Amino acid sequence: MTNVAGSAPAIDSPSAARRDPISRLLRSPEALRGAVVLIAGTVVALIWANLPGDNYGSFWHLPLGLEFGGSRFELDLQHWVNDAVMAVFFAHVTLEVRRELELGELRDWRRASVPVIAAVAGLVIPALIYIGVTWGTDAVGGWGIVVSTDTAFVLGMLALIGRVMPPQLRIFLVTLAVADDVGALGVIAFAYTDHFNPLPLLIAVAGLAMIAVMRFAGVWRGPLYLLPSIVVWVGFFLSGVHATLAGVAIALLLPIFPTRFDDLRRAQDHVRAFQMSPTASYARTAKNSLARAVSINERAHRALTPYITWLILPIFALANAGVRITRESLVDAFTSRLTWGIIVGLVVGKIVAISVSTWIVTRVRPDALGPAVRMSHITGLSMLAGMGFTISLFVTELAFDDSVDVSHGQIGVIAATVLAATLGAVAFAVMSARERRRSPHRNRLVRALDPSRDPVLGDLSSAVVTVVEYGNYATPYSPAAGEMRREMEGRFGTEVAYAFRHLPLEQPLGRSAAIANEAAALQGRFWEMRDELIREAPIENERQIRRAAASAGLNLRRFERDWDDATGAQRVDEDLADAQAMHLHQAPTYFIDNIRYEGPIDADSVNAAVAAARNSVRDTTSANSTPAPRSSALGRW
Amino acid sequence: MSEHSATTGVLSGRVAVVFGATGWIGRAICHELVRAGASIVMVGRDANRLDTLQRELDGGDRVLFTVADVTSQLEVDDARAAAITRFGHIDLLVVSSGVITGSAFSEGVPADWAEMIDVNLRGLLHASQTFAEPLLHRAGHGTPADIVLIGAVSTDVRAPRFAVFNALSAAIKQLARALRHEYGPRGMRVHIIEPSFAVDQPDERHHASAPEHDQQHARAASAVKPDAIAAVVTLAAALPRSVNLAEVLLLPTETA
Repeated sequence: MTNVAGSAPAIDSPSAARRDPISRLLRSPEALRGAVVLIAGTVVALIWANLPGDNYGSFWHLPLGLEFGGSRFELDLQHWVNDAVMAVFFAHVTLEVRRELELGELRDWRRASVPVIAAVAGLVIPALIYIGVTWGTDAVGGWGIVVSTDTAFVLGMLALIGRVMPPQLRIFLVTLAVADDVGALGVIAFAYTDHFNPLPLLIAVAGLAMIAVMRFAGVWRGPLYLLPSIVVWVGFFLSGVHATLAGVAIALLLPIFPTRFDDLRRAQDHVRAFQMSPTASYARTAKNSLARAVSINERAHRALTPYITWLILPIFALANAGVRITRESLVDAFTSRLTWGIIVGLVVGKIVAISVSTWIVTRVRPDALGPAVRMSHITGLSMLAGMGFTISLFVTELAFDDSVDVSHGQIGVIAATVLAATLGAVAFAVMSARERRRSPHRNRLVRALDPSRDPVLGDLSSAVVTVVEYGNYATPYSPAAGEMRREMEGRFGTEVAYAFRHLPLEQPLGRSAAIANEAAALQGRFWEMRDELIREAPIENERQIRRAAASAGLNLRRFERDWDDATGAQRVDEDLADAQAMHLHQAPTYFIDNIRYEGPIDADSVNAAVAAARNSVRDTTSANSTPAPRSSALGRW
Repeated sequence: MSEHSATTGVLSGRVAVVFGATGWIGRAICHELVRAGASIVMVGRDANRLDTLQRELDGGDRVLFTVADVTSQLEVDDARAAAITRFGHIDLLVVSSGVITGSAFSEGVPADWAEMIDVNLRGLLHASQTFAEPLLHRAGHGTPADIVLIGAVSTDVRAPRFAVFNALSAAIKQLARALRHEYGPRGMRVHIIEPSFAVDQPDERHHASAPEHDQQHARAASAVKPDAIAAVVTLAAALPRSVNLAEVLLLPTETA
């Protein structure tokens, strides 16, 4: 699963495109990488399974076991993968679900409700279609195959084909996929558990209790959780409940919390102590306090992600997607109602379920999707949602014992996935073309820097590069204007002019703080106020804003009048409207020479990009003795 | 709140805010204002001293104290809010906060100057500006509204140890005149009272954080007692609205 926070930047710069395919893959968005690796695993499995001889089958059925004294514990390789290794995958999914529930998209029910409703419909309707198609055969029990969308695949596809789509679409998809994973986990737990034996569950409970106690005691070192996790897994395995659910149970217990500013400050102090005397013991405290500032859930999620992407999912595909494809097997499969149940269930079922349910919700609540996402986007998305790869193959193994049924199921799943991907790709290609025609410069600043409305640092008449930031006061770690000014003057002299615009996002006082900043501008103290607001950030009460105003040296009585009257609201709302038009959903966002900067947000990277823009202007100017186009564009200011 | 108290003094019904309430002069002003029937909001830095003074005054619900550092604009503004919350309006501001550090100019410590500039001048600016709004509001309703600034004059030419303090006192006087011109037409009176401090101590270098200590030295030597200053404050505030006791110079009888 990919990082939902959306930190994977799309690499659009021409230099990245010139690289060889491998390094392009390594630098591509995480979602895309995951999908490519998964496809590779599938293709290798298919080739391997169709090589002469039964090499594939016999390899994955090799027994592998442990022996303690007299007792022996043995599973074949495929079961090690599906029961043990996949527990890590499900733990990862659960961590993501929990994070979304407590910190992310699913926290806000008003916003999450549409994709969640779509996800529920997307669980039920495909299952009903499958049952309808296979009614009266033994295959009916395989309805769980069609319930879930493969999050890794679908996010990878979206990263590949949905680049010009509004980012809110990705959030919709993540929410949908996560909600849908919850359903799939439930299906696996309740519908596909056989030979249930409750006693060994006590072992699992003991292990979970150990984890709970460790959590309560504030143990934050990840590896210490490993031993009780193995105990829980063994308990689940012996009980007959699918052992991968051990991963779910454990992940549910791992603490999650937003980073606390106290912890961050403490970490900063320790790092400072280490800078002053770089000894091994200070290095350790600094490292520990940094790690402690992030909840174990997030650290576990982050630590697991590369293993999931590069190891667990491709190995799973390798162990499960290898179906023998011969003329007979294909004819056999495509005359089987099981195969068609899966294909129709996944492809048609998901399209109908997601599109229709979302359409109904938007009839009731016209603003449910937000301004950026349109119904056509959702339809495209619902086509992609038929890619039910990983969990579908997983359930196929659970649902059927007969190898012919399993093979039909595998062919059905692979066919449905390929079909859904093709349909989705075509739909998105059409939409992208339309989108491009409608707004050809999506990553361009819609309102040019205008010194009569924008507060500007530096001198526009001498600047060769302009930087416009859309930001807010949610964290104290945005570069202070003073710092930015010094940094820019130090690095670029008078070559860069910098302006700030408001992008208050979710913070309750975000807009109020922005208006306060504008009220300070009326007293000629915009930047001083901005620095003080950053110092007070995150802004959680009005007193912080008043304190910032006093520290910025404002006339408080005048300030409060202007703030109350919301004199600066017009500029704030204009900025916000522009930001919405440009689909900015992340602060800070920088525009360097009116082009959106998409790289990592830290002072060095941003400054490097500014330097690159400056150098390219210099090159152009020195290459042509006549005024370069860019310089003439600057003449506007 | 003051309205329902059974007071019959010349300032009954008035609400006064006193900065530097626990200081040498401020204490006397607080006593005098309470005696004259006003409700007062005492502003100082030390909660314990304010609390003691409040008990000493025994003014019941006519006396409120609030902790604020006059050099912090935010805290001054909080004091304004506290006063208005409690009494509904403010119609008299007395700024008697000040520190005095003395030495020959060539021996002067710049940090001491900064402290004096901060408290005596900047603090006074904060207080005057912050409270001008509610005071003007009162004046606009045709009731008396006064700012009383406590300045100083130095008469002792033999002991030129207070160059910076005197410079600031001159600045305060000039400010009072300018404010009088700005606010007079709007019905608000600005007064400045300048007592003479004949400070005559052998060594006047004191730690800046104990300004009261310096004032105690001044107290011993000065013929102008705080009670006299307080009496003038009351007089200035109690005069009919149409006249402004604008500038008052208080000198010791013998040396004058």
